[in-house]
Amino acid sequence: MSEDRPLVQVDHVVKEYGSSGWSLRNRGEVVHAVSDVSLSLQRGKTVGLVGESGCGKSTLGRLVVGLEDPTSGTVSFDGVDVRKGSREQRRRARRELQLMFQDPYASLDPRMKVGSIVAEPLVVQHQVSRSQRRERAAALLGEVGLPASSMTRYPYEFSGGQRQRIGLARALALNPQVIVADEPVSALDVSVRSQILNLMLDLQLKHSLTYLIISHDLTTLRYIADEVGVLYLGKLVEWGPSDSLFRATVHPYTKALIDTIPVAKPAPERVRRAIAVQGEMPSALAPPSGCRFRTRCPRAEKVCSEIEPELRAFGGGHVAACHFPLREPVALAAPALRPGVDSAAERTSDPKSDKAGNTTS
Amino acid sequence: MAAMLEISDLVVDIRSGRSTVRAVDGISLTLDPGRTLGLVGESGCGKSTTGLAVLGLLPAGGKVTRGSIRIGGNEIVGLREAEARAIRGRTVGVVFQDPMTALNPTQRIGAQVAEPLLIHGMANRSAAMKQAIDLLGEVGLSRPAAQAERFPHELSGGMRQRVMIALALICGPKLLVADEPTTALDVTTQDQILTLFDSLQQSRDMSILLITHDMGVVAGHTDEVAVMYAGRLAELAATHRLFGGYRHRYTEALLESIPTLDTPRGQRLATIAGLPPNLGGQLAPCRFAPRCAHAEQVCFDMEPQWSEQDEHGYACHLPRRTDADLMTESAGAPS
Amino acid sequence: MSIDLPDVADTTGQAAALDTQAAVEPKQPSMVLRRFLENRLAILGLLLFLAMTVFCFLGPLVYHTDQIHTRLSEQTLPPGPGHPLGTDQVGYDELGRLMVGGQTSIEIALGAALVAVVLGVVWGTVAGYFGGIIDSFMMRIVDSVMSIPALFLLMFLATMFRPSVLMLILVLGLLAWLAPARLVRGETLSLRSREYVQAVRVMGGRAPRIILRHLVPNVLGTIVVNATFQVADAILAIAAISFLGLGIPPPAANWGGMLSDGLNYTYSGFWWLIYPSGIAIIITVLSFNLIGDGLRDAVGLRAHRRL
Repeated sequence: MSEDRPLVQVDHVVKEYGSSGWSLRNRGEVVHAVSDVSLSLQRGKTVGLVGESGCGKSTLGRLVVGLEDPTSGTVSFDGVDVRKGSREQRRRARRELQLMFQDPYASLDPRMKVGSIVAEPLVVQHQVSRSQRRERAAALLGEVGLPASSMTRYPYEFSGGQRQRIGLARALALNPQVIVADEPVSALDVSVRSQILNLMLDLQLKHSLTYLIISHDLTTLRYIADEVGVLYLGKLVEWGPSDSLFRATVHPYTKALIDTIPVAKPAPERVRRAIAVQGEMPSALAPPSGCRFRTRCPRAEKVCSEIEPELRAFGGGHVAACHFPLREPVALAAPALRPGVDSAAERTSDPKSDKAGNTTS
Repeated sequence: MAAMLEISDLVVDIRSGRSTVRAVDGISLTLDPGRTLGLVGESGCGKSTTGLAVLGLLPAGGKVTRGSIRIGGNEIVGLREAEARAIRGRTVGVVFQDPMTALNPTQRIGAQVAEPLLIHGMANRSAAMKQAIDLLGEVGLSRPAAQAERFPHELSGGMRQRVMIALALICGPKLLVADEPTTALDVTTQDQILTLFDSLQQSRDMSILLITHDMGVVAGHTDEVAVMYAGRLAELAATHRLFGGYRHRYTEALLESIPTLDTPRGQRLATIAGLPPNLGGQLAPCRFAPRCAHAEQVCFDMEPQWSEQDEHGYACHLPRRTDADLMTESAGAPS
Repeated sequence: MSIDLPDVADTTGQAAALDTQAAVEPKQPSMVLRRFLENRLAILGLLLFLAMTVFCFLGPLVYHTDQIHTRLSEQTLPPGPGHPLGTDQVGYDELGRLMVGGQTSIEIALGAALVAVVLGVVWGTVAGYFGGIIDSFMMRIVDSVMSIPALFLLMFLATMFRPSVLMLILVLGLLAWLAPARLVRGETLSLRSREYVQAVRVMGGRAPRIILRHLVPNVLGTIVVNATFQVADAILAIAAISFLGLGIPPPAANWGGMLSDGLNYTYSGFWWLIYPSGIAIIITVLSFNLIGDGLRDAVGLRAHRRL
């Protein structure tokens, strides 16, 4: 097994809803939730996905864990297509890719005790005996900082932060390598968020977990993610190492997202500045032609409505799809640039890793 | 100049079943005309309850037990329901977090925005409709005449919130209470709505009580900030003053637990241990003491008094020393 | 220490947090029970039903009567010594007959409600969980069966087959399952997208587990409420068929049959053949409606009674 091979590889994934001809109510409308997105997760790293609601980031997370099947394209785990592999390989992918949910109030069955909730993955995957299950549940709860006595209680007896801990314990039950976390702290009170983020970091170190964290909150991602991808209307518009993405932003949309973050910092006066982006994201039923962001982009010109921009490399693993980027690209458009893989190859510029990247495609 | 909103020593009790919870315990605030006051805190700190008390919308079992609320100089605590409503109807508008539940799904938005004018007999039908359409344009709906014919569910979240704001403004209120108005929105939309608040405030000379949990929102869009914790006021100051030199240990802990764009990646965040206290149970004299990293015996023995200097008030026994303090100390100024 | 101080200090207190969280708390069994017991009308309903059950099932142990052999010499005796509620047109003791008839009515009603609810839950959860074509197909069946007039079907079946307790349970149950099926399907549709159901799918859980462990327990509140109303409906339905003369033939008895027999004698002034069975039906139906209303309020369902 090559260390350079990404643990999870998302290749040209497209997800459209409402395209099946079976429903009587279907009026031929197709929601383009995810449009040709490729990215990869490197072992032990944290990738963040950011975007406004409706940009497809949650759908992408669900595609990665197998809750949804892509309309086209592939998701592979450790080099194996999670839908095409052998039965055993698919089972393994199921175990290794776990999901952590946003809403601590909806993600735990209110009728089940916490012990059963945490042990349920073990039951489903036919792992370990009943008594071992109890032990394992207690150990998992301990790992997330909850006492074993929690096992006999119901979710409603816990606060939001504690429920997120329970959700995390459940996600860890099968010893997964990858955890996809969809807005893990956005439903929590400010003073509890940092507790959960710290816990996630601790667990990552301890179990060498790979995280895909989906969030609308750039500040959190800036802090927790090694690499960040920005999605707009189902398209990946920018991808890069966290520092580079924030310090040397390329895409006007990413810039707008960063500018609109409310900053809790001393300001001499109430700053009154211009609105960063006008309007709202267009409907995914009919995405704009060419560059999808052009309808709201301050830099848009005629070409943006005619030609869809390709992802271009901006150095240091930083890629973006824009005709009028905020800084100049380092090279001409590389065909089928895949964020995460090709960017890693570019960084090391080692021919061997290049080859490893190619074998996965 | 008379204050637009003056709350003094407000106590709100909420009874549910056999137990009573003191959701707001002795809050005093003043909001001057044309200013924005941010009321911040975590869920359950009493910030929303304070807002609801001002609006006269306390939930069943909720009651103002003590204190006074004056809107534009008129005391409304103790007034009969109809009299209080008359005062509020003329002067107060409200924007809630979820516009979907605040708008009638079966009515076109133009008619909904126009309705208050008809109820108060302030215009006839066609004039009211025209005013509603003008206002929808003012809050940023493009082609307002066409949009007025649509139903709430046909609009996006941001658009609905704009309609909600138009509805709040139609009677020309002097005070706008906004309870988490942008929490359900995307950052870009949040930015637009907050900027809209700013410009509306200027053009209409309105006071805004902005209730939120987001320190960032408060920092950029308010003149003064009141930080609440467990039903009490922790700190109150002009916004630039507060963020420049917060004193209360809760404000400190809260601000330092939020990652910023400058927080080094992967560095452990400062946390606040534990949870906000259960207001129905035993409370420490300083309510933050059990979670406070700086707490000493005195915090568990005595209630901290409200101290105020240079219009910066806080209630903390062991306040954070600001840069200014440190400077005077290092200068070796004796006593 | 690698893990921060967890926020375990105060757990139950947080559940009572004021601002937003308390409203979404799901109802727990113990809480439902307490709220039910606080409802006086519901308690009245429960007591009425218990009284009827004791009367019908334990009454005959104390009050012995012959409900097999007709006694034409003693027909239509008014209430008096030996026969507290008189006798009917073939000489059965009316009070004893009320007990025996009640047994049949209650058995059929409970049985039919059980059949309806079990079938409805299975049908509804399966349709709701799988969705798509399966859902469309299954719900079109429900719609089709619903469009057949129930009374007509009942009469048709009653003339085709010789009515018995078991047959009536099946017939009534098979007619009544449509409403709970729709109800459950609707709830399942919303439960299916809940994150805790998706969590089971992510860990590799299959449909049977999701349906049995996660969907059914969470629609249980709705179902129990619906089942109570089903019992009330079934009692009325039995009365209706018996009234049409299509009930279980004598010497078996049920309240509906007794009522319709008695009505033949309206003009003879034999009130004791009409009122007792009529009142028994009313009390039992009322008791179930009261219980149902109480349960509905206790589990926090909204106002609509069915569908």
